[in-house]
Amino acid sequence: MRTEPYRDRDLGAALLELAVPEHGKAFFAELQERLVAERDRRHTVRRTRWMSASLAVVGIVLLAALVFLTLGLPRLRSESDVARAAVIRTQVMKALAETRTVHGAIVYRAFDVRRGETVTTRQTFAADAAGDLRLTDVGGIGDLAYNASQGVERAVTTSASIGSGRFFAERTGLAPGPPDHGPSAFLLDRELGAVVRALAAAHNPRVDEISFDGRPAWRLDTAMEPNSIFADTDHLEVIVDKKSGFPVRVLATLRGAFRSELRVQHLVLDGGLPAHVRFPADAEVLRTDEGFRHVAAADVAKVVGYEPLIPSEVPAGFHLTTIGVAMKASATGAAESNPPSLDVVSLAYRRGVEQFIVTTRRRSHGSWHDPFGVEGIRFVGEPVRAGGALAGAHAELVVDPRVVPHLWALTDRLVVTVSGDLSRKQLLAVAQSLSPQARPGTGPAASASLRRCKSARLTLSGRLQGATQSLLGTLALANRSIRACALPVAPSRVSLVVGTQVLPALTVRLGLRKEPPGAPTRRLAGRGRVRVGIQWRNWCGAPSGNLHLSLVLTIFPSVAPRTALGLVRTPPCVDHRLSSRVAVSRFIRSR
Amino acid sequence: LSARIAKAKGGAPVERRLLEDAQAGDERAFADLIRGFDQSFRLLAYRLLGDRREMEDALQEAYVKAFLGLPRFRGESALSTWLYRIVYNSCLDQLRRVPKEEGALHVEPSAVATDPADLVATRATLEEALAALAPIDRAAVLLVDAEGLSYDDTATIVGVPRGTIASRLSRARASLRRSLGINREGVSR
Repeated sequence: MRTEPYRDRDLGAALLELAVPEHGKAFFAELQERLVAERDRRHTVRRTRWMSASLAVVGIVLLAALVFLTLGLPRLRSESDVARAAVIRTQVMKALAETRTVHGAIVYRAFDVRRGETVTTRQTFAADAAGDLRLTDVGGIGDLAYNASQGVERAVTTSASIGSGRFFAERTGLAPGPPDHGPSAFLLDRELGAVVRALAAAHNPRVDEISFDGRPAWRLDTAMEPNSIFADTDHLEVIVDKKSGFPVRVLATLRGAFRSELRVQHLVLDGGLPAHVRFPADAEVLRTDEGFRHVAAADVAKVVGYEPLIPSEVPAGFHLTTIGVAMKASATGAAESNPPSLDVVSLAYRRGVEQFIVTTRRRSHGSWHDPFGVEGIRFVGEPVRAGGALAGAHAELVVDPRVVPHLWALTDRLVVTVSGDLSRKQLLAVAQSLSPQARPGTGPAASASLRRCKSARLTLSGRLQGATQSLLGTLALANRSIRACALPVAPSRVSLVVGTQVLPALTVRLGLRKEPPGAPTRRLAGRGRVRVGIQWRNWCGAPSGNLHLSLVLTIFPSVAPRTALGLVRTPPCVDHRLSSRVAVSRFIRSR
Repeated sequence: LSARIAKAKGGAPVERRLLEDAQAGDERAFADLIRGFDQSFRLLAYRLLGDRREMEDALQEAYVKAFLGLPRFRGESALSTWLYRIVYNSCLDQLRRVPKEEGALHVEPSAVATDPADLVATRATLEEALAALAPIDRAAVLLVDAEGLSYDDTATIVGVPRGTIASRLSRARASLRRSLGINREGVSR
């Protein structure tokens, strides 16, 4: 019998008697404003989802094929089935690895449970081995393109919230792939791609030779466990064209009832790929930046401050195509509940239209869970032992119908993921081969050659000006030396000085939304400059009013350049019970 | 799904309707919904952050995140547990933003000037003892002892196993009891 856990009611009562401040008067009004803004933004994003969803449908087609070649078809019914499955796998593998571009038309019918009706969408799609994607609405104005080499997605769609006409959106700084925010196809891959990945966990698929649209084809069908949160489908039928090796139809049913059907028509391999969406010159564009930048291998360690883990062995035919780095990216995991993603390196390897991703990020303080986690779903990870750089690390392998196959590991300093179109064995092999080996220019010598910036070579300048209940400004930090030098992510302290008196103020980090525009950096080029944002608020001490103020920026313990700000008016005292605060941003590269 | 959400919300029709409207993107319904939980979230956030402004920043972030994530809420846990988890994570993010050397928590004095002097002294001692605990211990004791949440829900919120909650609670309670001058049985010394 399980007893009720002990609750200390006396202590609880004492804790409840402690004072808790009420919100400021504007709290809920501000919240309402932010919610309205987010709702509108979400609405416009949702309007682009028909296209994103269709990108995921492309993903389904490819994944449906990949299932057979990467994860295999375990426990088939007969020897002949095994033989046929092997043939299909070989054919599909060959098709995917050799295909440079693929384009065609999609007809996707899905039963909308809420509306109780079947919705049909038609698009043309194109994808290539570089990772570029293009999706265009047939007979409409919707158009979406993802440029993998630039990490940019542009979309034209319609928006009910801004009236009739077109709506333009651009997402930059996209990660090459999961678990970070990549192109929309990856965002929705969890929803629609999950249907196909269910085949990976299927144990008894049936293989038949049939004729489909007058062409010889294979039909594979399998039972599967429906999604545990909302039953989506319990049976899948996939038809693969014998000649091309590509799936051409995916039919999903639930308890015998229709759920969705995807048909791929007019499939053309190795054609051209029109991959650019143009916006009118005067278009108002919704822009979002996910924080990733593509860098050369030689610059990775300089940006993130550590040697990234690189696989020395990858499956035959794969090669490194993209290196994305972000000093700060969105948190990962279910409901983004993991600690902040800092100093992220994302390596994309491609072979034809297949891809896998290796990521490393700092293991910042806090409790880490599976970065691929989805709210409300518990993935059962298989604990694995990996060697190399992951020796002794906590590592889990997850092959589940509802998520991309992946391995994630926690070392003392890093969180590591390997994910994508790989089998269990391949995921393990890639993970085993990870090492902080130096590619040209990324080794210890290269990063050690960048020395810390010195006070004598630095010049600080700038002004603060009055803003709402605070003083705001951007300072410039210039390097007088011809040699580049290293900076930390942000200054560790800001001291405000009047004459010889240091004003007592707490140094805190400036919110990301308030930072000066531009990319954060830790490198100060020779003769170069970086910027840093400052906000001072709530000054209740003395002296006050118009003061001749100086500012000291502590960068390293013995590196603290100073600048005279001239005559400034101190910020108002908002709450005398609170400390005065100076918020400081990260170092931002000057444009 | 509706049944699960109804269960998660304790079946109260008005709140269920607010939740459904909020899930559909109605920001007013969400604000009304969140007001019902706000007092508890303020208690947790303020005791974790020790500063009214930091508390407000963390709660704004948490509420916006919850609003955006609400369509994905499927009623697998109670709504309050789901929201608590977002609030707790938002507070931890806020704590991490403060540079370490400046990060020592100082709880500002309570504005309870009308209380008898000895009661004020007791509360100040308790506040200090609470502030001296690690954030996870603080959260555990506030959620279980003050708010009456189960060990399982608390474990879900702070993201640790249930057993960890029990051991953390034991340590936190001992420290807080000492500050209140009460012994293990709850009797004042």
